[in-house]
Amino acid sequence: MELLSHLALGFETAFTIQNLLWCFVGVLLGTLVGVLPGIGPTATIAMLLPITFTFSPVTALIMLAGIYYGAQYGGSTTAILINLPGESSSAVTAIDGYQMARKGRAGRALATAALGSFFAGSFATLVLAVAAPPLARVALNFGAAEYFSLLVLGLLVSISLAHGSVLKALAMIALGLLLGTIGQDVTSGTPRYTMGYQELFGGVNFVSLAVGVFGVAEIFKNLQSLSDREVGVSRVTNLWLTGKDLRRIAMPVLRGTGLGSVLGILPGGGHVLASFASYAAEKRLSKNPQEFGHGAIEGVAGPESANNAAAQTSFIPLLTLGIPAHPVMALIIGAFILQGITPGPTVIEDQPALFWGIIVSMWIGNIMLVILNLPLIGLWVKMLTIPYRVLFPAIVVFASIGCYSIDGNPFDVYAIAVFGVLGYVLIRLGCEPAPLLLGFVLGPLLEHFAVRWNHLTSHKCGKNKGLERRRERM
Amino acid sequence: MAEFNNLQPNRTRSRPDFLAGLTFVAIAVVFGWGATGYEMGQLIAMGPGFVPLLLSIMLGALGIALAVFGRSESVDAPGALPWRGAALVCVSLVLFGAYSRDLGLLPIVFLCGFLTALASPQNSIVSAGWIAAALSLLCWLVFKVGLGLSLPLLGPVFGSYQIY
Repeated sequence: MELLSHLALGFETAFTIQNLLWCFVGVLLGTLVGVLPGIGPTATIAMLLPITFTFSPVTALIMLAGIYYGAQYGGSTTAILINLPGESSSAVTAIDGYQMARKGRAGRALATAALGSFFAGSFATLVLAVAAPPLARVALNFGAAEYFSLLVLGLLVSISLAHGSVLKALAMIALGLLLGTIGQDVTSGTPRYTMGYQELFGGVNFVSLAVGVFGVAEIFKNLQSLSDREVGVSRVTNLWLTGKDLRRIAMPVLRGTGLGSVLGILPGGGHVLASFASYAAEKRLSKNPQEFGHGAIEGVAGPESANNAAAQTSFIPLLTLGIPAHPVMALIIGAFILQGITPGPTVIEDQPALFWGIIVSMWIGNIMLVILNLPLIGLWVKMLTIPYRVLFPAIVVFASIGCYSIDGNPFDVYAIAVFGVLGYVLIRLGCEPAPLLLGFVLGPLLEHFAVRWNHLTSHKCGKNKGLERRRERM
Repeated sequence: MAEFNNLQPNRTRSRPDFLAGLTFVAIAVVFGWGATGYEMGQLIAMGPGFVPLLLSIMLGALGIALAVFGRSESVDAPGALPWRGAALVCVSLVLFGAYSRDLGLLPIVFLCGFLTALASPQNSIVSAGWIAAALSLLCWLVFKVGLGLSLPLLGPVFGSYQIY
């Protein structure tokens, strides 16, 4: 019954006019950037992070979370209608979704995606509500060694985020960790790699890095590949699923939800993994696997449910351990820190209104998303016809304003350009930027826990007496 | 239009894994060389240079492994570099950083939006101007009216015409 009283608190928090409004803005923006190819939730959240300073912590996090799971809905629309995944996790949806659209069943594919996503999102939110508090209680007993090991695990699993070579992903993590060492060393205060720039003492600006490698580098890439393609958007008719369709998607949705809920918890972007795993499972279990790749409705229902469930449960490591499972979660950690809250196991106990408010808002957000995505689908189809040449100047200008408004520092805006070029070079060389960003965020944490662990063990073993004596003298 | 069409296979061939490996080694050398300038300490009491040097060595090793063991077959190069576009975007970012305080929100958004729009070969001067104007309006509504951004609307450069 504890859960019910907590949920009541959550409803009380989420059902204020302000929080409902910003939740709506979040999922609306999320759907928009999910639909539009060439801009994803990572760059969007990075841009909007500075703006959320002025909000209360609950409102800021409700909106940012909304952008993230909203983008999962939006991404499927683009994948189905023009065979271009708006989001990495909808790459799988494109396989059968686009084929369905080509056969004049776009409406049904979209309805399947939206309903599957809604079921999965609601269920996974419940999983989050039930599983997070006990997990956080376990995590309260963790020491430096456990955290260090978890972070290393998180980094290694993030390799699965990258589709290409393991070596490249590992190198990108190492590079991210190195970028994270720029700035003043926590223990000694020595400035590292600052090249004399005062601005770098606090480290590389996280927003500049994220906007650079995810936003600007993407633009450079798209400048040559996304020419004014004649977008052959399929006509959307008949959004209603027949009873036969419903029977066909019921089991895939359930299985996808289960797979997604479990895999989403994994550090390292379980949602991409989950949608692939679900697709493979449906293909194997299907009575007519030859239909897959030619418009099988199960191939839309399963992966779409899986990636939405995973998007929700990927908040579990963040809210219980303070470890980001995904670059977006890393940004949300940034939002927590900016609001003066240390993310970790204590959040649930210390800020119950925040935690339960976010959970309830996710459920509300999922309802809003179904309404936004089914009846208003025509609007999103129109959005798809916005040419990229109009879109990307807006991305660059918004990024500049967002980044500059953090502390009015020109250096942060210059840094976007530097990281944009770096990110583009790396993309060009076939290296994906997600592990780099995760390494950058986790690096300082890793070093911090390593140093603390070192202190603890040296005390325990009574080794290193010299060091202690030296310290005593100081 | 053909020159912007990425689907057309390019005649030049490259070995991305080898190049990526070399790039990582180069970055590792720079960071590793920098790290030697800081105090190393020892494993039990790490100095500021310890972690960076360790990471540089790891990155260097990964880079070498990638260059040696990476896919050796060459693949089609992904097309021409977008030099002009990238340069225009970078220039507008630098201009924004340097002059937004002095010029104010509207002029700097117009200027940067215009320059950035020109980065796409599909935008003409006229269409870039329209995009920039629409963006200025949008930014005024979103950031100034909606979110109360602290940048002035027209900056101090405009003297007595300055608007907050």
